[in-house]
Amino acid sequence: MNMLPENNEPTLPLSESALPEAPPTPPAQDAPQETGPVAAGSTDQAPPAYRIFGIGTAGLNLLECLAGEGLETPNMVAVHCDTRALANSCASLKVHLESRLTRGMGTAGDPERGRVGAEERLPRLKQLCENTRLVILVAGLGGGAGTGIAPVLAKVAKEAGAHVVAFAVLPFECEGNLRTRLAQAGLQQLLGAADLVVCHANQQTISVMRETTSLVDTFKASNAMLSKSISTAWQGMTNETVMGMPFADLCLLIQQRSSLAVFPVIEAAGAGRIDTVVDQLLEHSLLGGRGTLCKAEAIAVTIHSGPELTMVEVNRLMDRIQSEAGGTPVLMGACIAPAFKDVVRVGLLVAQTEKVHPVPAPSQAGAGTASGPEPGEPDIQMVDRMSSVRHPSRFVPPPPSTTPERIDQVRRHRKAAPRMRQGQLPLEIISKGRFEKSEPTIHQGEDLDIPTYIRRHVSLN
Amino acid sequence: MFEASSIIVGLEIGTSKVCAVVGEVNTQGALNIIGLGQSRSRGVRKGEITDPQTAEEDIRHAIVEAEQMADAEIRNTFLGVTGGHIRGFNNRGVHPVVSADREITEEDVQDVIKNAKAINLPAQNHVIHAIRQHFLVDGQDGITNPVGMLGARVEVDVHVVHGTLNRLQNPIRTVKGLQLEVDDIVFNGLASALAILNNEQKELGSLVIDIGGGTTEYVVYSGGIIKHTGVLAVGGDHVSNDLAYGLKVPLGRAEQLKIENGSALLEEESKGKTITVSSELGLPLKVINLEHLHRIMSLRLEEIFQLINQDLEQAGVLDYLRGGIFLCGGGARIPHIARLAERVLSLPVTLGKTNSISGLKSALDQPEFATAIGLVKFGSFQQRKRGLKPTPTERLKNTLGQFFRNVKGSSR
Repeated sequence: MNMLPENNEPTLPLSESALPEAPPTPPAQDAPQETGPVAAGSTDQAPPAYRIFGIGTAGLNLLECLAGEGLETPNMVAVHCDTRALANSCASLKVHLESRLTRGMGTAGDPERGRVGAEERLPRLKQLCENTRLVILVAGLGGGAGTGIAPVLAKVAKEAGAHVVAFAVLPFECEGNLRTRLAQAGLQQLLGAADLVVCHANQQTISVMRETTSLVDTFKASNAMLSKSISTAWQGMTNETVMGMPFADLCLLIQQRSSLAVFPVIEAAGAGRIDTVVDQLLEHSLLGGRGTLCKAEAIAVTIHSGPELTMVEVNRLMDRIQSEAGGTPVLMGACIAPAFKDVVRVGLLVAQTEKVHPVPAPSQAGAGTASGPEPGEPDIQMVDRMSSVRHPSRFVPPPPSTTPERIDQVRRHRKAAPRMRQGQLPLEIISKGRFEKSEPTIHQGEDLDIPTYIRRHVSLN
Repeated sequence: MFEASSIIVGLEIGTSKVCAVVGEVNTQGALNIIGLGQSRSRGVRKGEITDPQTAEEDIRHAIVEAEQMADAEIRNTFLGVTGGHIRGFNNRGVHPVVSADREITEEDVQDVIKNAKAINLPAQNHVIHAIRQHFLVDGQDGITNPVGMLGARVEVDVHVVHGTLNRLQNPIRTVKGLQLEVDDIVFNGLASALAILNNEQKELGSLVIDIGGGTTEYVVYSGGIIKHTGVLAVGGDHVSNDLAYGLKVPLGRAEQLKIENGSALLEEESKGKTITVSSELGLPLKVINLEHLHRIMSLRLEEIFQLINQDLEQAGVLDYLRGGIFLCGGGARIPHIARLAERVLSLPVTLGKTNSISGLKSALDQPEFATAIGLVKFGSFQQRKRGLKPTPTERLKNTLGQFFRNVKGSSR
């Protein structure tokens, strides 16, 4: 129970192999406040324009991936409750969140422990976020550390004046419904705290896996996918934009529509690379199949390529995406960087309607993995506690969703009856009681059947 | 055998009750009420029949009761009609006097009245009344009979009350379904005014407001003629409905609260007071704030008077009401309603009394019966008008009498 939840997150062999090398060291407990001399030293330097925070096991693993992609490690901050995992991280800054609850061990899958740990180290986290333009959070939701720490950190970073983009990994459904529920609750909190949450649902990548893909490879592939997204975002932030809008502006415009987004990224090279990229993007598992683009709130296309990128290519790319998007607003930005010689990398930042994904019914909890606790008492408590600490949302709830069948129905109906008729919206909540079925008494636009005191807004206290 | 036709029956199919009044014209020509029957109405909303079968049943009960009380058989009725579709307006007819000496003849008068009654109305509308007002001769107003006067042009105003034909047909059909004849249909407001106002009040200028269960009718008399009529499809039912909604009680309970604890004015002493509603067994069910009850009622009734005030102001008849305002209908029973009406319309308000008719005095002097009594009165006028011409039976009698007298005379 202690270790399993963390291991279930996207895990690289690197951290697993690191486990035996780094036994829990008592010295770390002696100096728990500042982890390592590097952290103390780096605070004296001028703070960078952006920081990437890897939170929890999944976050740390992704930092390793990103380092492989070429991101500078000095900008990375590893945040975790587990000393052993921190010790093996490549990040130059490490924050060990230790509280009385955790006692140097992990969070044991309890987001509350992660949250308390983060709140105890608030000043340190705040200091790291200060004078930073952009803060990227990378966290796996569903466990203890990521779910608990990320919303706190996002809030702190935002209070410090940074623009907060969170990359959140949602667990596989087979990891048990408790984890899914915790992840959804964490996502809600994160949506309330961060500016933009880019969601990476592991479950959606399962469709592209072959039957023979091993567990480790699955996580590797998933991590690679997300790290490519993050590095693209980072490239977009750092490289100069030659066409359209800079990536930071695209983020801002997208988050005005919805703070929940997905960001699939595909790259291709050689002849016909644009068609390959678009085909793969439209079929991308994160988007949930073809035809979903027209239902999105907004789409931002970000293009990275070498100097050989032609206008015709960009035109073709945007044409195809526009036609797929239908009436959804589409924005774009193109960057040229020598690093992308002969390669075109296209990312689609798609704003999605914020809605809580349906959580599997608790009746199926028995079929869940052994890692989840027994359904019942502890489970409910955790969820309840989460809701009590939920940040007051600044988001207006989205309008009720309309099913495709209903849209079809409405369209067909419109064709059948082209004559305009003054209808009455079914908004009336005031019952007309006795006069429900009789002809309304309309006098100068007022329905006299409705009680006078209601029409005149006289309150009965 | 001929006695049956000498009785006059007024039938009002109201929203809250069906009422049949039987009247008899005595030898002196005075109208005497000899019978009254009523029944709770169930099939009527806002003054119009919505459930003909139930309504028919209720009418039958009322008629049977009236027949028993009057000890007479009812065959013909004068039927009162109302509803939100009924409108009143004034129409003017013009006729040039063509004779060489410019003397207005009886034919000229008939022609001008015919012109005034030729009203352009949509096909689905039906004229209920076209009541003659004053004549104008060469623009000179206020002439009651221009025959014999000199003038180039004679004009006449008629007040037209009309409604939708189909909706007027509904109550007629229902009554005919009971094998009763409908002599005429009468606008309820007009009937109430007839019952309540005496000639002096009609001359001075008076407004009669009949607040019924489903509708409120109002009629303005001035200078002895009808100036204005109107219907609001709002009545006591609305008050009950507002109370049911506002106090969160069932409609029946709201109705009871309205009757027992209602008030048209929100008074200081009702503030902070509560009443406990108890079940049939005497167990307390709900505590109701009296202030809320009075406030809801007061707002609704005030609105009714305000709407009437607006309409009268538009019609420009508010200044003619020197006789004051008379309230009738069930709504007139609400405590303090006269004071509320006075406040809104700023005119003296009294409760209307049907004292212009004799017979069954105590039972009839209720505001609810004004319409039905007015219907009988209307009927008696109609009959008197008809009575001027001899009926076929009378003519036969006269001829036969003459014949026999002649036979007698010749045999001598």
